[in-house]
Amino acid sequence: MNSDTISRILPRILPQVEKPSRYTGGELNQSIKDWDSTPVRIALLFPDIYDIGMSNLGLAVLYEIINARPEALAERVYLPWSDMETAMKREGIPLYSLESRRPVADFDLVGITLPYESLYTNALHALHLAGIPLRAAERGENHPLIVGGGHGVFNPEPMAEFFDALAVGEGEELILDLIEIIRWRKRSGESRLATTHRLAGIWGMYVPAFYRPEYYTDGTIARVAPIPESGDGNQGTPFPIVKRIVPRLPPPPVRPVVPYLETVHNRYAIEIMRGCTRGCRFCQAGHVTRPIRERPVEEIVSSINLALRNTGYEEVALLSLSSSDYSRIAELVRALGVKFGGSRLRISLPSLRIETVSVDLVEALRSSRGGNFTLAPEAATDSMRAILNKPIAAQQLIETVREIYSRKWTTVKLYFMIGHPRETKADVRAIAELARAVLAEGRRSLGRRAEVHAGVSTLIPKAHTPFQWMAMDSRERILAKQDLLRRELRGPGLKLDLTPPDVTLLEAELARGDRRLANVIERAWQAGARFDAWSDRFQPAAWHSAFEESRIDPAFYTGRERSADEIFPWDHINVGVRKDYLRREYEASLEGRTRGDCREECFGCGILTTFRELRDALPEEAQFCPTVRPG
Amino acid sequence: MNRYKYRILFSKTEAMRFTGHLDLFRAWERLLRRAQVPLAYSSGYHPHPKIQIGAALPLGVTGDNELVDIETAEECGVDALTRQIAEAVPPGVSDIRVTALPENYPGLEKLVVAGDYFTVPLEGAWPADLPQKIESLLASANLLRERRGKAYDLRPRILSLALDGNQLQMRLRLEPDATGRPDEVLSALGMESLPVLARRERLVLRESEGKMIGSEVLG
Repeated sequence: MNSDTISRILPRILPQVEKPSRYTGGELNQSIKDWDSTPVRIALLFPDIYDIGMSNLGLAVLYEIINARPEALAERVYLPWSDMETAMKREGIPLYSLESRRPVADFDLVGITLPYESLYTNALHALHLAGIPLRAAERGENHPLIVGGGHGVFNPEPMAEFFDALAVGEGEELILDLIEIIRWRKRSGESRLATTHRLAGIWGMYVPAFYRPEYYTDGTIARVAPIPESGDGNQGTPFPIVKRIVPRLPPPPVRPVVPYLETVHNRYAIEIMRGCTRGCRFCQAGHVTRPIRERPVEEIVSSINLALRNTGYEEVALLSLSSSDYSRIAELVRALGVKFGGSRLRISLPSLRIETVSVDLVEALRSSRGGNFTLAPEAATDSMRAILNKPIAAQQLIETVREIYSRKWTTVKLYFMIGHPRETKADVRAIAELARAVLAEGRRSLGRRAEVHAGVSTLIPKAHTPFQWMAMDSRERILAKQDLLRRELRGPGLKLDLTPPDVTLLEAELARGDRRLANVIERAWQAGARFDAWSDRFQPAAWHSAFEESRIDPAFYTGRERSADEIFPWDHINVGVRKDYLRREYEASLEGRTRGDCREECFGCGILTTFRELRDALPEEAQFCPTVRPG
Repeated sequence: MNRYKYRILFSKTEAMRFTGHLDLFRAWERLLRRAQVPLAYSSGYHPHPKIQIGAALPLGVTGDNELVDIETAEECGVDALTRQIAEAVPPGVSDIRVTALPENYPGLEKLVVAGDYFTVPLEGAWPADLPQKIESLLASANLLRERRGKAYDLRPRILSLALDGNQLQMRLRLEPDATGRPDEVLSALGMESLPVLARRERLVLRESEGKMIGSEVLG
C-alpha cells in the first residue's frame, strides 16, 4: 500500500473514530520533504497514541535536527487507539507516518523511543502493525533498521532481541552518525550485516546481536560479552558500551510541531540543565544523565522568544532534574520576567528544592492566582530521608508550605515514595502525619479551601543506581503499606493517589530483567498485553501466564537482594558512573549516611574520569562537573 | 480600558477538517499570539483572551466563510491586522479578511441564525431514490430524533434542502438550542453510513432591521 491509497481511504474511516486529528498530521511546523530526492528517511516512533507521544521532548529534538539536514527527512509515527486500529486492519492500512502517510516499512530506519518500561509491548505492537518482523534476527535486507533509544535502554537486555541497535545515552550527535551510515549504505548497497557492524562502531551504539549473555546454573549472569567467532568484521565491537553524551547542550528545538489536538503537555518545553549533582539514591535519571551541563541564560531566553514566535504557545516549561540547582536560576527568572512579563505567558518551573526561596522563584513567574504547587519530599522521617539521600528538615518543609499557602496557592501536591525494605510502619504512618500537618498549615491561611494531594509511588531499584542490589518490597508488603495510607491519609481536603502494586512490579521486572525476558514480553503481547501504562488496559493476567509459560519466576528479578559481586544484566553498559561508587553509596544508605551535593565535594562517581578528555577540550565556563577542591 | 472589536472572515480547510471546535479556538489563540495581535483579556483569576468563534463547525466539515470576533487592547489598522494574521496562519486556516466593528456591536451568538451546507458523496453518486426521500422529509411536519440522549424535532431546524446535481444543499438553523447538523439530516434521509464530504459555504446572519446576509459579504 502506498501513501496515495492511504490518503484516499482515510477520509472514509476518520469520521468513525474518536479524535480523528490524531491520525491526519498537517499541523503547524510539520516538515514534509521530498521523498524521492531525500536519500535518508527516518521514522520517529513513539509507542503510544499521539496525545501522549506528541509531548515527548527527545523525539522533538531529533525531528528538528534530522529535518535540518538536506540529505535526511524525519516523519512522526504514533500508535492508533483501538478503534482506529480496527478500522485500519479492516481496510488493510499498515502503520503509517503522519507527514507523508507512508507505511513505516518504507523508511530506511525506524527510531523507537523507550522512555519507560510499560511501553515495551507497544513497541512490539507497532512493529506488528507496520508489518515488520518483531525479532532483529528475522528481518531481511529490505526491512528498515530498527533502532531504540530513551531511558529504558540503560538496561537494554529485555528488549535486546527486538532491536537491530540500541542508542545508549544522548542522541543529538549520535543521530548525525546514523544518518551518515544510512547514506553510505544506500550509496554503496552494502548488506544489512555490514551496516550493523558499522552501527556497532558508533560511540554509544549497542548492537545486541554481537553480544551474548552466559549464565551460571543458578540463573545469574556469568558475563555478557562480544561474540568472538563472528568474523573479522566484528573486531571493532566495543566492550563495555560507553553511553553517548554531548559535551555542551546543543541549541534546543525552536520550531516544534504544534498539535491541534489537546495533548498531555501542550506547551513549549526547554531543557535548562541536564544531569544532577544531588545523588538521590533511588533516582536513575540523576545517575545516568551525568555530568551536569547548563544551558546559558541568554540562550534560554532567546530560544523561548523564537519558539513563541514560531508556535504561539501560551505556556513554557523549564525542564531539569533540579531547577534550584541551576546556578543562575535567580538571574534566569529575572531575565524571563523582563522579557515576557505582561505577555500573559505561563511559565512553569518544576523540580524545585523544598525551601522558601523556591516559592519566591515561582511567584516571580506567576501569571494567575490559585492553582497548585508541587513538592517532592519523598519520605517523611529523617531515617528514610537518610537512606534515600534526600535530607530535608521537617521544619523547613512546614515553613515552605506556609509560604505557599499564604501566597494563595490552594493546593500543595506532595510526592512520596514507599517500598524500601527497611521502611517501617512508622515511616509510612509519618507520610500521612506530614500530609495532615501540611494541610493544617493550609487551613491556617486559607481555611477550608486548602487542599493536599499526596502522590505515593513505590520504589523500584533501578539499574545504575545505588539501590540496584536491593530486593523490592513484596506485593503483600506494598499492599499493607498502601492500606495503612488509605486508612490514615483521608478526610476533607486530603487526596491520596497510589500506584497499583501490579503495575509497579511489572515495571520493576522489565527494568531489572535480562535477555531471557524477550520471550515473556512477546508472549504477553501475543496474549493481548499492550498499553500497559493505561490502567484500564493493563492486563496482569496476560503477563502472569507469559512468565509461567516461559518458566521464568519474576521474583528472580525483583525479590532478591543481590550479592556484591553479582553481574547485572546491564553491567556491560557503562554510564560513566562506577559500580564500586554505587556500591559504596548503597552501603552508606544501609548505615544511614547521607552524601552532599557534588558541587561542593567530589565523591569520585567516575563521570569525570570517563569523560575527562571531552571536559578538558571545553572552554573554562562550559566545563561540566563543577571544579571542586579535593575534600 | 479601551476595547477594539474586529470581525475576521476565514476558511477552515482540509488540514483542519477533523479539528474540533475547542481545538480550533486554541489554534486561533496561538495564531493571534504568533501574529502579535494585542488581544484584550477578560478580568479575574484566570484571564481569557477575547476571542469568539461563530457557530461551531461539526467535526469533518470544512468552512468557506467562517467567522471569528476578537477584541484588542490597542487599535489596529485593518490592513496591518489582515497582513499580520495572514502571515501567521497554520495549515487549515486561509483567506483572512478583517473588518473593524463598533465597540458595542452585537456578538456572533446574537447574529448567526443559519448555515448553508453542501455535501457530496465521497465516492460515486447518491442513492437513486434520494429526491423522493428529500420530498417526503420536507413534507413531514415533525422529525423526532434523539441526540446525546435528548429528544428534539429536527424538522424546524431544516430551512431548506435540495439536490443540485451531485450536491446536496441544506440551510440549517444555527441558533442556541436549535442547531441542525448535516450528519443528522443525512441520517434522517437514511444515509448515516454513507461516507460524504461536507463543507459549510456560509453562515447566515441577521443584521440590523432583520436583514439576512451571507457571511461571505463581510469580507
